[in-house]
Amino acid sequence: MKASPPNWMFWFLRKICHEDLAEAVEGDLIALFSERSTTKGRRLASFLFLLDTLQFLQPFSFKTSHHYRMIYKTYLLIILRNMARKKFITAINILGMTLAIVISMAIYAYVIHEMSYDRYHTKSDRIYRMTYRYENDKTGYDIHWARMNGKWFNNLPEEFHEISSLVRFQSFRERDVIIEEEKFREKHAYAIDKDVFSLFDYVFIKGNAQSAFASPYSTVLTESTAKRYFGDLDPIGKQLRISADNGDKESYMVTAIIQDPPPNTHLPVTLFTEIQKPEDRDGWAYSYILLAQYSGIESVEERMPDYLNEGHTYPDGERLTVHFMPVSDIHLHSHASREIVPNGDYTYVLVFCAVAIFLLTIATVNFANLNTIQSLSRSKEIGLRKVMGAQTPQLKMYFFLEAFTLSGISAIAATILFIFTCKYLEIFMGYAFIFNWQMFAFWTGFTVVCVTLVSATMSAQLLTKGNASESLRGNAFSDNKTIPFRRVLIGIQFIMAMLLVSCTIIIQRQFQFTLNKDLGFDKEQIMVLTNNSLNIMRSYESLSQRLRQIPGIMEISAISEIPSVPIKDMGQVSVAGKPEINISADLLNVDINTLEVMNVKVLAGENLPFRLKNRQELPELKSQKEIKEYVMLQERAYLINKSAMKAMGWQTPEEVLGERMSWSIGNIELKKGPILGVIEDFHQESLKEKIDPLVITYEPVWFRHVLVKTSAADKFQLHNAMEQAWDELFPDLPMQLGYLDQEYDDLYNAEKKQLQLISAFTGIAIFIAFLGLYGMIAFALKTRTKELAIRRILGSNWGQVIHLLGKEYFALAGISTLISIPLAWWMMSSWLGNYAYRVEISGIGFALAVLAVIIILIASLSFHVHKHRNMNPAEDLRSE
Amino acid sequence: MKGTSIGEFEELVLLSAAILYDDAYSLSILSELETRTGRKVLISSVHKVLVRLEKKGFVSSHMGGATSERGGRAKKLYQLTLDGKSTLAQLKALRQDMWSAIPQIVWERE
Repeated sequence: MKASPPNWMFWFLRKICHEDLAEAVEGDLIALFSERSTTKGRRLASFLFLLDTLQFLQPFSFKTSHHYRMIYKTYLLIILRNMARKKFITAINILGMTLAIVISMAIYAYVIHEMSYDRYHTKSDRIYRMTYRYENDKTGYDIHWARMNGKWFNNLPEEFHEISSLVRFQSFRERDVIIEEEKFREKHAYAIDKDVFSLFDYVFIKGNAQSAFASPYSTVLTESTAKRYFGDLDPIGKQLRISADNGDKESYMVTAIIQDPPPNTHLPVTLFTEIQKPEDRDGWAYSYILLAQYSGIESVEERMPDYLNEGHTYPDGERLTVHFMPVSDIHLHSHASREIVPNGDYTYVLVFCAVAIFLLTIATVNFANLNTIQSLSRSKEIGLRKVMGAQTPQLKMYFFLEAFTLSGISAIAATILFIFTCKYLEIFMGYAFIFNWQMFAFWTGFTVVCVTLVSATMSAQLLTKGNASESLRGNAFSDNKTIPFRRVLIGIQFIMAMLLVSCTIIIQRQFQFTLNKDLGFDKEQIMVLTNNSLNIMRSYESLSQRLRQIPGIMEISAISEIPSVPIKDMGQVSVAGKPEINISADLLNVDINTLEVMNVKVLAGENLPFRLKNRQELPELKSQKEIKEYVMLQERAYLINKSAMKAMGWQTPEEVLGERMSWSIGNIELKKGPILGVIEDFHQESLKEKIDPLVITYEPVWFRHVLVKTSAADKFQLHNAMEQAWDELFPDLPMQLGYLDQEYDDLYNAEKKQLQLISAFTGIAIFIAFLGLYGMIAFALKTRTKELAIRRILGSNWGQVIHLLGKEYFALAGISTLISIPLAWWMMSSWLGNYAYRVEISGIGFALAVLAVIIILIASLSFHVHKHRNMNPAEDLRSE
Repeated sequence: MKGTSIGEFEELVLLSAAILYDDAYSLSILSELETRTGRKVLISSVHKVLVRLEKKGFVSSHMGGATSERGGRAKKLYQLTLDGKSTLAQLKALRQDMWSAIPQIVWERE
């Protein structure tokens, strides 16, 4: 049998084209199809068939254009007139729908952006990041590093045929860059392997990938970096000095400029230098591999454990594993330690999608509810039409068209609104949205179509029931079959409204809690000189002295890691005479006065003694090995925090004092020393994380930040004075000054924004839901005008009428409460589970929700009653 | 109908229909156009123009000539009406007039 095009396309053609044309067009397309099948193949022929068919979606070919067009024109006119007449209800409908659509658009933009991270590299499906995981079942130690350590994996491309290259990103700490007189400190200034350009896509503005690292000591800058350094001058050929990991400054020449990487990457870059010597390819590095074509990562993962453990045997319960993550998954799915920039969270993407769906559902249900509840006032119209000969499909088409018009208007309004507010959204989120227009338009269009279909179908179905005379009589919505249905609709509205209010309240409470919780230390009035290398910290004492001379500075202190940055060392703690104690703890190195400066509470015992400072001046330590040896020789005394105490099995702080312990990590083991005190837990990390056991000691070699306690003085002057002092001691090194409270707040920035967004969205949803609720009740009451009038005639007074109405609606509200409270409870519990420190779900949220709904009920009831209070019931009856 | 002008593409389609006289339908006109002008034409454009021409009264149509290549569907065959023929003649006359009014020098000069 000769190949023929798919049958459904014929159906489509017949639907569109009018009779004369249909047959001829079909014949043409079939003839074309058979010809193309032989010359271009069946698939292309079918595709072209489809395209050709679509071409006939033009007015000239439409079916008996004359009478149908007339009908649609009149329908449209009537629809618009109806809308103008019932301005209020129409406005509510359109408003609700528009808001829902706009927010969904915003959410799509956000979701598309988040999911697009790192997909722009042409080879992104073959790029994987290697990460390192160490587990120790005995101590419960489990740490997953985002970067690799060592040089054992440099040979992977040779050992594994699936891996074509491996690129290391080293020097990930801040590097000093000095150009003549100006000093800069750069983050994301990486030392890499040349191959980086064959893995990741970087667009060269000046120079090219092949020649960029042709000579040693070349550097490649990003566009904005070059602008910062050299303004509008040509940067190529210019010299700059960049610090290496050990602090030494080396001279580099700029050989190329690349475009700034787009914001949707987990790896921002400001500057590249090449790792100069093969032996330097060692130590910690973010490592990425490129898979060869047609290779699968599974075969690498299979062989890796054996390769890894060659020649090593790990004690029982200890495991070292290497993981590979596709580069485009990193942003949403990776939560390892020491990520380059804080990653997004897949949970949030899901949450926002859920919010979008929820909002749209509310708007749609609203829409359908409002339409349906209006039906009584339309039933006469419907009845008349039926009498005049309208068939059910035509009526359905009418209501469909009506719903479609409303949604259409909302969609257009939403698009316009979105275009205007997009800018503000981007500013709020802090980055520009990467727009994949096709996806965005597709999802938005899809949404609008879905929403329209659902609401239109619902309306059409409900409004065209019954035969002509029934509808004329106006009974379409008062018979026993449909009253419960109407109640259900109102009930649904109640549930949605209550759910939204209670959830929003709980979310707000958690939000406030997070912002205001006592962190366990003072962060106000403390400035920080951050990220100083060992070179600088060697002169800490002199710097400290010099800074104290500045008026407005109260105290100087130092710390290895400032609060707001996770430590996550997970070193081993062992206690003399108690071999059963085997916990992991982080190490915090502090100066003697640090705890005082931070105002951390001491539960028992005392602070570290001053005598620890009596050591010889810090020698110049160049290598990790020298540092290790030095550190292991020093006398020690320790403090621990409450969590550590509990983890070690002690109940009261007093028991702990005097015990001797030591802390070790990897092959560095600190000397045993007495535990001199126990401090109260404080939040080193965000409130999402549980507080880790912490060990505190004095080890100036590991100081990295200087804390500066200030009185509320002139910040600007203080800043200048500190710059001056700094320049005296470190003339050719840049200073980095921050505020401790700001560092901590920045931690919450992403959180804060997400929460604010969710609050805004739920607020709008509440608005929509309540609007709908009011509208529905108002209209339900309106439909019962006659019923109420009759009751009054038969002797009831308004009090009894209200009682009757109230009973029905309050009962409905009661049932809805019973459903919405458990639902809200369940939803909120799962969400709050993300936070290690959170509020308890109390009754306040639910009480307020119920209260709000009751208020709306009373408002609409009283409004209606008021309107009809003084009217003669006979008039109500007469309105026929 | 004097005063109804037709566009360039419409004129081409009309001419092709005249050329093909007994076998003037959408597909044959399409291939005639593509061969003569070298332009790629969409089938719907041809149909559109033919419908328009018929509305203007320059062509008339009848169904006929079903073949198996067309899955048994008939073709819509078009032929020129008197109006159509006179329009074509008028257009030709107009072009001719204007051509001969061009002074010789235009062709000789660059």
